[in-house]
Amino acid sequence: MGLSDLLNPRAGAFAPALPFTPEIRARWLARLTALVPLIAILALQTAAMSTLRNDIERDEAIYLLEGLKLADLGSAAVPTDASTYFSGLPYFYPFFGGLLHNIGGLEAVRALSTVSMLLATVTVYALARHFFDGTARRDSAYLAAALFAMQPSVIFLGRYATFDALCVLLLGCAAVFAVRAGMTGRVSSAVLTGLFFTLAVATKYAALIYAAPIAVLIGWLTLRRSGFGRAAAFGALMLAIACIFSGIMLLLDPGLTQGLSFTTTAREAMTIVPREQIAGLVIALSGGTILLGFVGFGIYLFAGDIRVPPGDDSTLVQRGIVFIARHSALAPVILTLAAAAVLSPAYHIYKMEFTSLHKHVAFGILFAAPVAGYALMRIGGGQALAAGRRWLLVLIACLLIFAGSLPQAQGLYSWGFRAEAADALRSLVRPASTRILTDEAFIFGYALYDLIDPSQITSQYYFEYTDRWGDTHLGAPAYTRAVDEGYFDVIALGFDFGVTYAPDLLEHIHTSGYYQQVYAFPAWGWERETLIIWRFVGDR
Amino acid sequence: MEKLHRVDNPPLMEAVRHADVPYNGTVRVRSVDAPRQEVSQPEAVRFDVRALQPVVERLLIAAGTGALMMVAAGSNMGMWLTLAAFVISVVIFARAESERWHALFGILAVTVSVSALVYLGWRAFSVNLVSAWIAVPLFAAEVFGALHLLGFYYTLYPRKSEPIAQDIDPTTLPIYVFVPTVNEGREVLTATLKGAMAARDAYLAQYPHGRVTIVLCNDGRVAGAPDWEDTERLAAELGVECVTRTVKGGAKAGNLEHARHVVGAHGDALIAVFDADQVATADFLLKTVPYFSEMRMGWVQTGQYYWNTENTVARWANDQQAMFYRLLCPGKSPLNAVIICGTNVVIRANALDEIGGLPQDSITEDMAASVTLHRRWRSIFLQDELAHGLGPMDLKSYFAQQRRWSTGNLKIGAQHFKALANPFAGPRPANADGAPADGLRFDQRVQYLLGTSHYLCGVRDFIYIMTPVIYLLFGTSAIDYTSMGQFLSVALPFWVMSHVVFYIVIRGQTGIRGVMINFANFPVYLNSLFTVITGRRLGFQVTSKQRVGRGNLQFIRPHLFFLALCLVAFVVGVQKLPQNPEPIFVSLVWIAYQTFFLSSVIWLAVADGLPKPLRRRIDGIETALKAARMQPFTRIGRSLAAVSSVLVIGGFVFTLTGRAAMPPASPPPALAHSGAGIGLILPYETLDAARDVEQSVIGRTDLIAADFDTAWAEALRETGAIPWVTLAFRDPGAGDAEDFDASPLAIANGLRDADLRRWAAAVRAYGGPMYLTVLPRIDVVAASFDAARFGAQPDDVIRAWTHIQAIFTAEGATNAAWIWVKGALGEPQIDAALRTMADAVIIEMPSLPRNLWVFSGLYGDLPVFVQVARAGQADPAFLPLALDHAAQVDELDVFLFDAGSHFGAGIY
Repeated sequence: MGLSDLLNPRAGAFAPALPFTPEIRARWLARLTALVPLIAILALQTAAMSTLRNDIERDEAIYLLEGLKLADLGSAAVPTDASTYFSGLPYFYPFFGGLLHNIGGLEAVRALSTVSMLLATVTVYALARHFFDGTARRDSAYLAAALFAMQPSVIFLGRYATFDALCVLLLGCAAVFAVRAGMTGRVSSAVLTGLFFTLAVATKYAALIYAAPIAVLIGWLTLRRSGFGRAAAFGALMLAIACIFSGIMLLLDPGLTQGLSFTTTAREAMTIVPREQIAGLVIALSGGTILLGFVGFGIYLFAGDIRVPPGDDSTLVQRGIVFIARHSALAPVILTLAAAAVLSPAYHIYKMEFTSLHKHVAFGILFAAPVAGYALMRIGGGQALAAGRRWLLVLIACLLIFAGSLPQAQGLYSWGFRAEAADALRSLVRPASTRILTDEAFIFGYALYDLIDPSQITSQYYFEYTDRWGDTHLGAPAYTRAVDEGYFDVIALGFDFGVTYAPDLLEHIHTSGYYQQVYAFPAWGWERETLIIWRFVGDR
Repeated sequence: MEKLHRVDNPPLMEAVRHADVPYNGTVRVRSVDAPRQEVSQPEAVRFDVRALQPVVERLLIAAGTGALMMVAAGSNMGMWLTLAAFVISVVIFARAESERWHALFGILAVTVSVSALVYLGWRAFSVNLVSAWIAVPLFAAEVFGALHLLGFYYTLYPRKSEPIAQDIDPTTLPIYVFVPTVNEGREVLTATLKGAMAARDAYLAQYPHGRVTIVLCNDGRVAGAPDWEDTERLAAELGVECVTRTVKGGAKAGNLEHARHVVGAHGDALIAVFDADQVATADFLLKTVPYFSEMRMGWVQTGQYYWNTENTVARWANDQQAMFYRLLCPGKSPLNAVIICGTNVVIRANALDEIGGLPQDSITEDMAASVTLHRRWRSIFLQDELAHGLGPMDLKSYFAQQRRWSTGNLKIGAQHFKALANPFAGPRPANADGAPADGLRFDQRVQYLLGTSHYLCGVRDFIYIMTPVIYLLFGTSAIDYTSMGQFLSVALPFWVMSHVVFYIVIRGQTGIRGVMINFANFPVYLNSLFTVITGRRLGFQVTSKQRVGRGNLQFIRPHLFFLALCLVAFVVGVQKLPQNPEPIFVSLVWIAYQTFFLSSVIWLAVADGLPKPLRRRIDGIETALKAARMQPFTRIGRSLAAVSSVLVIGGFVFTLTGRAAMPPASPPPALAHSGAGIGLILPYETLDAARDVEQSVIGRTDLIAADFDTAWAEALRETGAIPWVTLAFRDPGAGDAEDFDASPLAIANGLRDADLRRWAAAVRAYGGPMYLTVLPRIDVVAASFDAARFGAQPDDVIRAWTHIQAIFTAEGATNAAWIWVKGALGEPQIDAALRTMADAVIIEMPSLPRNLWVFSGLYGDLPVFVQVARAGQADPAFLPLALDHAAQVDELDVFLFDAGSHFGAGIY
């Protein structure tokens, strides 16, 4: 009996009564056909992401270096000082990143981000499928997924080996289960919501800011369907999950509170930029989609399936009240989704913090995309998208967004070329003996991880040095004294942070007589500074 | 107030249901409270803001399209936009509930259209203004071609037809069937009239209360046809009316109008028109008349199909016709833009009355009537084959027919261009003064612009032919060529996709013959354009229904001329190819494409001109090929696809598993004391002189960045010699450049691993015994010691050697023996370590004054090659002396004499 017999019970005399009836097959075929657009979107997203090629970036190096250490130690529960300055739990993403790196190198870790962002697109689709009515639901979901997949920050994160992509995915899962919990009242969905959200926060503490939209999603929908009691129970359940998880982690590593405070809750801005400049970047990155989100809310509120009571004598206020009353069920949820897009940018603008803004935009778009997709669907002609000519507007809008996004993502991904500098450094170091001073400790620590021990690298953050007279120096004097005495074998400075510690370090390198400049790499890093490498040439 | 209701006239409903309205195939019949008389009812003009919506939409679409083209022009996003368009169109069209053709067409059309826009965007910025005289026309021709391509897909886009209103019962209307004739003859006319009679009889059988009058409109007398009286006799025999004109004028339109006047076919009458050769099917009236239940229905057009396709020209022309009737007309129908085609049509007399009858001042009176009537009347096209006629029987008749159509349409296009092209002209409600001058809807205007401007494709094709010819012959380029990559990334997707999608769309409806014969018309269309521009008059000429001559050569002279031109340009281009390969190659491909189409015209003329038996044989071959394409070729194609798939998959599998499947590498060459051989290291230019010497070891130095020359090694193996490769990590000629990755430390730290792995794989793949040397003379301690210059220490050298050997071992390249080339006065620590790792050692013996070389047995069992070298010109006396020394050495395995200046230390 062949496969065709199995698929077609009427074909053979021995056809068993398998559940492959024509109806079932037709249903599955319809389901698979319904997935074709989503698959096409994911293919485009993958293709767009695959255009991003570059060496490792500093943030990637930070987490992967820590991950490699943890993976090599063989245990994720070993406390590390990284917990005091990491913006996520060091034992979670970095550990898995380290494991993946051991399997397939940097590209394997980036593949995790790629998969995460693709799945995040699927969560956007799933999220959007829960709202709106009729075929609008599916059209909105497709367009929401397409809009999300085309965002520059989404394309960028898909090739960025940090915990951002995984965090976006976990947030997406949390949002989907929050809506499911609210719409079905299932406890299991609520538990999963709490679990995914806790994991998202564990992955990256910045996900905490999205506690509000998640709470609104599950809270409002549960209130509407199951009443206050169940809503309160769900809230307590999720709070308990978060508390238990946090408690265990804090017991294991008290340094986490310092990290949380240092990087997230009481963060000092690393790169202060005028607020209007930050707002401008947000608009340039995803302004169109954010705007579409609010337009979608407006359309939903004022032009959705609302039926206005007849009579021209009612005032605008009266009609407005009727609108809201009739649509109070979903309006707050739709508004929350749309507004979530500006949460993170607003925080950046408030803090005047430029760092990581381009990544955080994707977090908010995850929530706003379903509403933006709804707006686009309505602009494109409503529930019969392929009819008429307005679908051309959808096509053009998407193409213009994509035409802007891909170059933007490529621009975000175009930090200075690093492999050559790492190779140059590699040609100068010996295992266990070479002492290196660099202000790119993470990148070079990662690049030379197979060759040297990270302890051979001295960074700009902390240095204590005892000179030949027995005097101990700390900070800037320690750097200059060590250079004067030819302590380091190799010095590699990109002048990104280091000069603030020892402003006259360069002068000491020149006057000590121990160092010969061997390489200079222009256009290094984000700021395109020059990286210079010296080597020790004297006798000790 | 409109409402759906049950129709009380089942036969009518049945007829309408089977009338096969384009696309959705069903007709919703609705009733109205009163017949709509919007034609004559003046309306108060009132501004409605909703009327702005389509205008805003169009403006947004136009602006967005322009923005996209700008983006495509200003970036390398062309391919990406096409890909994204494909994906978005999948999102829009690919639905489980979608009609399959709608979905497929939508996706393909959108993708190819965006690729066209991307191409145009790129081309706009690559017009070579230095040669504007050819560059600008080419760009204009490409814009024209792209607009028509967009128009083609715009027309064919599946749309739902507006429901047919049931304002009246059309079967109560009087029907007149007009058959205009000039000189077609009894045989042709008899078939046509019998067809009309059969249609009448079937109709009356269904609707006994109907009134159908068949009128033979005889123009033979005024045209001076010798058998015009026989036509009258024929009418009498068959019992149909015959109206013979006595005053000429107005050609076919005049004939029809005269007959209409004589029989009184005005008012609410319906007029069916058949050319003298068009034989109606029995159900013609049954299928067409029911649509006139809608008062607004002006005419119902059906297709024009040739039954004499055993004739070569008619067959090709039929394919061209099919493009129009099977593809474009069904697309125009929902847009209410189906033109009157002059035959196989039913027209409401009221409509003709309104414009004073068929225009008699045009040679394409049907088109002229349509463009005027469409302002308020509705039209529809039925896809059923409801009549068959005779196609042109030879090239002369065909080209004459095309000339009339093209001249007429171009004239109408020119006359109405202002109204058609005005973007702000839109439909306005009728007023008491009659139809507005610019009352066509946007879609209708687009269709008329496309239809009338189609005949400018002659100019386009002429420019397409001449541009590559001019470039290849005179070097004048119309395109500001940047790079092949950029050109191909934009042009190739557009070109390939436009062709592939086009043939998918026309598949089953028509074929490439239709395209080829359309191309054959370009000299005719050019002539017509000249006629229109100069204002010359072209008389109405009836398309001949029989062969009028055999000499086709005179009609294809232009084609022969351009074919010869293309062939000359092709030959010249091939000769010039090395000068500028990329653009010339593109031009050659372009010329080859044009040559194919020009040749097809020649083939048509030759095939048509052949004697009847031979022509029948060729037709048989053509039929057989067509059948083969449907059956065996499909199987062959599938088989080829299967084989290709297997090959591709097999290739992948072989590539992935190839290493494991390769035969094991040979053992390294035997080195231990097999008796001293003699080798020569000669200047390269003296190698030829040593050709007669039996060579057992042939060495060369390769940069590691290069590839292993497997062919060289294989050739040596065939002669019994053993290849010896010295791998250099830096180019010795590169001077003091800081090749940081060439230092022993860099090698030891893995910076050259990729290159080493590649070499190891190649050496293993070669498989034969060979010698390998790396880091020669690295042990030399001197001021210029390269290793020292890189800050290397002895340990670094040892680590590097170990690292290199480990990579070769890991890759399975065990067929190479390692030769350590020791430098004179080298670092003992390095020598001591490397001789334990090497399979053999080379000792260099430079010829120095009063220098006697003594071997001390230092190397134990390690085979030793001795390389005797001297700087400068080779001294013949030195060789015997050196040999004499060497003969005293028991350990010596190979003696190498370096007769050139190949001496010194360094990493290479």
